[in-house]
Amino acid sequence: MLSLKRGLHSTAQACARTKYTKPKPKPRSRPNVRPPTQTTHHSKNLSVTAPIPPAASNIVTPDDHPLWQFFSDKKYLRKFDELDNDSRAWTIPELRRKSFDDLHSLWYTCLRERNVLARENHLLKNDMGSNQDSYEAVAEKIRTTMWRIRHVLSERDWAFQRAGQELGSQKELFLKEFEHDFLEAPAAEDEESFEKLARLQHSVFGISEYIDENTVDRAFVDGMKYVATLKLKKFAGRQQEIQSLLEESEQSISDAGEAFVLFTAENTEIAVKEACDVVRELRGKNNSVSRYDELDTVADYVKQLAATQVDKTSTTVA
Amino acid sequence: MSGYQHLSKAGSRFLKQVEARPKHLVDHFKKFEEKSMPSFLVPSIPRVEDHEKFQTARDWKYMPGDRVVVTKGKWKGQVCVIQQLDRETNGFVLDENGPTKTVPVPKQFWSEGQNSHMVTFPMAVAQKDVKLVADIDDPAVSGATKTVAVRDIVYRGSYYDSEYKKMMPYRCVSGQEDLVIPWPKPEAKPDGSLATAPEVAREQTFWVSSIAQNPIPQGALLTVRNPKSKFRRGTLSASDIAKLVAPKMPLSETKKAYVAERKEQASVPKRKLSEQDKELIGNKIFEHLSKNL
Repeated sequence: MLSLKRGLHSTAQACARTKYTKPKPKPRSRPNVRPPTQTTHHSKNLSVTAPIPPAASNIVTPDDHPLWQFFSDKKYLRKFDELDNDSRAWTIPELRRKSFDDLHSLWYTCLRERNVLARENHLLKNDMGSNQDSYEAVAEKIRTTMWRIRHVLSERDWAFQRAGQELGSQKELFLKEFEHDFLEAPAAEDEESFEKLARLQHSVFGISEYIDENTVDRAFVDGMKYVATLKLKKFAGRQQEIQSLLEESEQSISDAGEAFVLFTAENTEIAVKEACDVVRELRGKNNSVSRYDELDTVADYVKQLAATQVDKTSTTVA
Repeated sequence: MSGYQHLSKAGSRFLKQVEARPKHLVDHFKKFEEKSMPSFLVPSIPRVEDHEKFQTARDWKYMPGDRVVVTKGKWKGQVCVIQQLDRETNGFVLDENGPTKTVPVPKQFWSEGQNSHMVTFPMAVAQKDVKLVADIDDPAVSGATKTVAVRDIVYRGSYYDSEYKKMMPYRCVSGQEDLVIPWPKPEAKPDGSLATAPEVAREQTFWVSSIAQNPIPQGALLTVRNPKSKFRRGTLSASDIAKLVAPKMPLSETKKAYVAERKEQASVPKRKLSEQDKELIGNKIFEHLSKNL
């Protein structure tokens, strides 16, 4: 017989079996054996079954499969008349009225719709070889909305920058005017006045009423000092102790620690008087915050205050 | 055709070249196109190029629902209602009173219930071949109206049309501009699936509340605009300047020779008239004048 194996002339001899090797016996059956995770042919349970024909019904896709986001109503391809051909893009004046969050969600709505349209367009052009632009026409309108959103946001940022530059010289004047009106207001209108003050501290210094929302920067600390001074001045006419503290500190609070105490005090005469006592105590201990580490110190104070507030609310809820 | 033209511009310049037909051959191709196309697909008036297609109501002049009278051809004098706009040919498809053609249609294009090869189609009519028909107050009989054909219309001013949901021009009669012919009422359509309700769209949710806090988070701003853009930097780099300044042209041999000559001429000291020369000139002039005067 013709040997089909190729080798050297010595291969056959080298490979020849010189002794009988007994085949390994089958492993003995043992009780309490953990069944194997994968059954092998040792178990001899393989059987030939009817072939499973490839069909869509054999594939089950969960309803929440993330790729469904690329389909409209789980349709393979929408017909041209099912598309929204009549709607127009958002105009810039319409978008100018919308908050950042609205614009943000509109952006993602647009993006998702464009994903669907891009998939359909690709199928149409690539798979079916069509040159119809119906999907692209709708997608183009959505793209228009999207660049307009970016335009509006950019515009808002420029407006903010310019306003900041222009405010520079007028800020002092404006704050003085506010101070005058604030101090002139009668005691009966205290609540209203302090509401105005809260609005001012947000609009000019960016200080939010919710303490944990704030980021401590130069404007925050300056605003805090301004508000603290204003509070002292407001109650100075009604309380001798507050008046004397104001005179001692030369009509304005310049230490960040003292300002923080007064700033966080309630807007009542008693609370401000208590804050004044704390300030005096601080001065007695010669406890002052250096101007160089004002920001870090105040940031720590704010963090501590926010933490205590969270604790308080959690205990009251519990 | 690769089927990827919507994703990539690779090879698009070449394709453009192929698709751009030479101007003198356009009519030639059109003729063959019409000959080779089945008659039920051939439009009655020629197709228009993309840039010639009507875009706005101002271009169309008449809208579906308008009554028009045909002024040319076999159907001259027929008053019909416009059914739809034919955007391929800039024409109007009219109702059953308008021009039609009966052409054979192959069986694969038959619609349900059809039992003949011959089908009657409406033919589109060009804008210049129709005139608008309108009812106006009859000046002879008070309280009555009469139907007239309008020679031409002009547009004067515009208004928001809640039926069309957009700004529409006032359609006036040319020559009698106080006569406004309203646009026909379009077929009512439900809002599209992507449309936003007007009250939601109009609701204002953005208010300027602070001059110290940017209304846009810093992270979002980086996706809107490149803060390091070279177009906003205000300074030009060396490579920018190199791109903007043209290189100096080398001088030709002739020009070089000319420049050298001018230089040589400039270096020669200027001659001045000496007293002797002035005397000589004076004598010459005196001689001449004494001879002639």
